[in-house]
Amino acid sequence: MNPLREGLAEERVPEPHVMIIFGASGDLTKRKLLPALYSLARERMLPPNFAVVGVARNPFTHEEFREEMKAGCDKYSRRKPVEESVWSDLGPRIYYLEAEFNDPQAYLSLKALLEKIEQERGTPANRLFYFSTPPSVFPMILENLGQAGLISRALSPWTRVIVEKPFGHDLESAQMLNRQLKQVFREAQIYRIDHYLGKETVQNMLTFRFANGMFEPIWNQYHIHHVQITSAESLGMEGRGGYFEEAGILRDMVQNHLFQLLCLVGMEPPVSLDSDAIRDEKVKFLKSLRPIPPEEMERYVVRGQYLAGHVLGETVPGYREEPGVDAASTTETYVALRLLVDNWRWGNVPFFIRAAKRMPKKVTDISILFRNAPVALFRPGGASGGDSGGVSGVVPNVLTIRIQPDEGISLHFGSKIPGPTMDIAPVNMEFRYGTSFGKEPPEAYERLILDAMLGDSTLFIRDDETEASWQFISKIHQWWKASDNRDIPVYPAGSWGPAEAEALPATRNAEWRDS
Amino acid sequence: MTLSVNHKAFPSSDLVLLDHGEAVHINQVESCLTQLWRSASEHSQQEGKGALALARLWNLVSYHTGPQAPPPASGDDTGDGTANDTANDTANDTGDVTGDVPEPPGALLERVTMSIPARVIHLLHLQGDPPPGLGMEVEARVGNHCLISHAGSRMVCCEAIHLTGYGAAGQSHFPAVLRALLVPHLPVALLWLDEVPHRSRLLGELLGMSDRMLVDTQRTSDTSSLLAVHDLMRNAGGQIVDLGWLRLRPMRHLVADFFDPPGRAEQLEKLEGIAIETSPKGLNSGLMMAGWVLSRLGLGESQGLIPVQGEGNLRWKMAHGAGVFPLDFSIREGYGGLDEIFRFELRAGGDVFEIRDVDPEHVAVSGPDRQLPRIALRESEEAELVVAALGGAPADAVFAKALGVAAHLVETLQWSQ
Repeated sequence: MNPLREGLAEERVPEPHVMIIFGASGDLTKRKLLPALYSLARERMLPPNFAVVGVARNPFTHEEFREEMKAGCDKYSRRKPVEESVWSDLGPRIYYLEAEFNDPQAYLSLKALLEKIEQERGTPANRLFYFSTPPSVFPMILENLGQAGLISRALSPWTRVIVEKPFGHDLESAQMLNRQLKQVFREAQIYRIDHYLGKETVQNMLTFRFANGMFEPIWNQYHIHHVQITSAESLGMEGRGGYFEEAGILRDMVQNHLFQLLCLVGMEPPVSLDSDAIRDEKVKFLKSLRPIPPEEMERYVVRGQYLAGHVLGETVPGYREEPGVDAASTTETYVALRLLVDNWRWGNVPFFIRAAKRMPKKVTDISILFRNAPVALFRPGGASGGDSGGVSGVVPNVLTIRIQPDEGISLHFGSKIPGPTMDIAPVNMEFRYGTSFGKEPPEAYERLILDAMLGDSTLFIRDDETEASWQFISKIHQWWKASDNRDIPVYPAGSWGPAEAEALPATRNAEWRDS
Repeated sequence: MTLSVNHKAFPSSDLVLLDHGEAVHINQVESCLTQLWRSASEHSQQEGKGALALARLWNLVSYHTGPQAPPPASGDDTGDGTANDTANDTANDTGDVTGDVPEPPGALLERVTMSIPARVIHLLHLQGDPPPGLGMEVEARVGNHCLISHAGSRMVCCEAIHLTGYGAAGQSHFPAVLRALLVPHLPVALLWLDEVPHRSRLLGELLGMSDRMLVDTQRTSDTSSLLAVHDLMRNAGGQIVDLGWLRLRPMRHLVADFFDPPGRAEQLEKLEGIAIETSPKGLNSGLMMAGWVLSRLGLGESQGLIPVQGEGNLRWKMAHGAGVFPLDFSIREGYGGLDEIFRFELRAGGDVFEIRDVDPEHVAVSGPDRQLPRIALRESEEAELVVAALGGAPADAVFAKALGVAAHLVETLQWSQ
């Protein structure tokens, strides 16, 4: 233990190790992973003698790969341009290995390279594998890593693996993937990454709910009317039409990101901040979701697909006109769900969730809509009137947690308009990360990669979490598959979705908030 | 009321300074701020900037002593020529930051509020009598700092109140005035921009109102300021944050890095010597570095530190384990970067671990595992340090121990003289 390290913010410096990225020639490495490592190096959060090895099919030399990664950091890092003093230290610690994932010989070459690096840099054989590849090749990589003796279940030196989404495409495949991973790793060695959990506002949900005494007492069915979670994207396919055809927005956004937000809003207080204590509560919440019977699915789930339209001043094509998309596709680009939770806290409180492409703007937020005051002293709704000496303008209180952009929290309440009448106008109390804290929040990948290096799995998804969410989502897919002959509702690009979706909140005399 | 509007451009945002043109009576400060707030809103709407947001996370109180108030103006001097100008210039000067010259308080506070919204209350103490015709010993001026992000978000404004106290009588009003002007239920940070005095009734009173006090042991080359801050720490505990200590963070990281590889930390048990070379202004920094290393190794306050007379240098001998090791300071003229340390060398277990200035912005790092001939030492400007001090947790046990040993070094030096 280095006594001089204590008290320095970067006390959380991980042990020396080598990170090995499979699929390193892909966009994720250049756009996210290396810029995150660069930022960590800049903040002095990487361990001494850390090294990274990129593994992919493309032919690169070490030097070419370094140049490529440097260009990526220059373009995508949150601190641009790259500082030479930082890169001169990090650059030489980046290596590349050209390899076919099905070639056992390649894994022996990888082993030799790792041993060479570890010997040269005096690094113990701590290894962090990052699978930035399609899940279909995971079994192949796992098998070959095992045969080459590159995987150990030992606590020290340690081996960990970060797995990128998608974690399967339905319950069965998720279970299969978990089985494959757990044949060679302990669960504690597996880090299933969902970058939403690396966002500062998402992490703040735990603080907001459980570090403040004022919210938890009203965080229940007695005070909350309903909850809305929206993830809207103004973009369309951006060249990912082929992938999206297979996935759809329910798999791409809801099963992972939005269900994580849902858990953080709805879970019970954990017994501690220990990673398993938090994840236990998330799983309990997911298991409390009321299953939707197939015959009632239409009352709970609405999907849609965008048509040509106008978004942010641009004319954009419809989904079926996007490259890589079937002209008769029924893949959903919009989905809205009405969820009910069978537990004491949330009994009868609906959670309305929607995720979509080609919305008017990019926004992800959570809105908690509170019940109105029990006695109607003030007339609800409407604009100011003040006729017959009455009062008007009562609006529900809304707490909005904005995930992106402009991360922050706002509280919407009614206030008397100055003047002789008792007219009420809605006003906002706002907290914004951008204006309240001078410190720039780290990118999600920075936080998550650092946590995996440190062995902290709190912000990663456990096997039973993935399976519990697939358990619910797969039923919807099965129902869609069974009813694929029906027309999918449509909406013009640049609108807030198909008209059919209005029926979901209308069941509670509510409407979607235009985020 | 006259309203002066002044724009300043920064890389990612613009700062708009809105000042009430005249001095106001203390009891009019709040109403003037409200008026100014209204004017700022109108100005914003006229400029098409949209709604204003008033933001406050802290009451940020700064204190410093200005030059002697000038004698009363005679005849028809055009600028008022009075202490009003002096006070205002001192408080609002927004000149560039250079070399050894500390950033003017007005500019420093503007930059701090760009990152941490606060009601700023700036206390300026001027010697001498108030200007004729002022009719009171404390003069107040109010303003708003509004930040407009280039990303197009709304203007975020912070209030600024400048209070000038003339002479001892004016200074004595500060605590009571401050009590009236602090925003209730918000934490209070006291930024002490002067050298920390050993005993000061004013400081004691202001500290009593504060949740956090920011001092700067590097503001002076006088080592006794370390003793004064150490005294404050004893009384005020964890609420003291030293900007000088925060300034040493990059250097401390570099030193700590030497001992992360396996087996290196054990070498610290075999300490053979420490040598530090600083500029005259950096002596306190050097003492804090020494205090840090020694305290982390459990040495210092309770160990036998024996000052040794040298030729222009400072030297202590310290018993450690079976031997005695030297702690050497040498001081030479020059600018050693913001931390003012030219060289830090630690010898342990037969190896030498050294950080040496290449130029004021770069250092060379040399140790058994690392040989880096030129790396940038990212040092923070004063405003960044204040932001860090307000943004982080106040209690720093490592700092308290390092300061304890550094103060002990100073005390032993004083005893020996």
